[in-house]
Amino acid sequence: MDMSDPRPEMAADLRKLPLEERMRRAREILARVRARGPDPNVRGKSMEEIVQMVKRTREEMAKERLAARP
Amino acid sequence: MRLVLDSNEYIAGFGDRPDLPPARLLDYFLDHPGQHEIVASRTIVEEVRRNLLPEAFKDFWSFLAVFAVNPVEDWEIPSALHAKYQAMGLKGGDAAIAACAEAASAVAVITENRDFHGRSGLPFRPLRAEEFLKEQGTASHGR
Repeated sequence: MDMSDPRPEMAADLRKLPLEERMRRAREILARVRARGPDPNVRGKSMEEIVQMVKRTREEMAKERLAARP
Repeated sequence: MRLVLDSNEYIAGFGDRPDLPPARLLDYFLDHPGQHEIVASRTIVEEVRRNLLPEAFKDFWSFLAVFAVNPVEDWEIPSALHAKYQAMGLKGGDAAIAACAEAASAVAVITENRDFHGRSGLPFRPLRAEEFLKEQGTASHGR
């Protein structure tokens, strides 16, 4: 299983639901996110700091792809 | 409207930073179901996974699922498109996002990454979340 897909079977089930039910689920998801509070990885960071953090990840991944080439 | 949301939007939105525009962007999509089609690439999913705790990533993944987003695999994106954007000066990862947007015929890439902004000749519009919301007439709405 691709580790970036936590539960593909669950995702497939969610996609089959009517739009109204899917939006209700989406609201539940966001409510859960907001009840949990800021993720430690972004807590206290400005938007620009988050952008730079993602850029570093993007560069790391690009290097990994290059290194994986035969 | 078919849209690509860059990783920085998801990470700020699912990292729960209510003070930042990406949180309002997620609310906007909830308030306007069926009006937009969201496109994501495998690269975007992986970048989010690497920058959020597993719990938040799981919520992100479920959110993509309820919006019926099937991530575009890297191998589905023509390498010629990737090369085209690299030739235009975008770095490898940014070029991959641009190539995904063109391959999916997205009309806009919503991103706070300034490397996308102010460029001409792109077949999609790079927009910041705030710009997108303003165009939709919702920029002044809070959560």
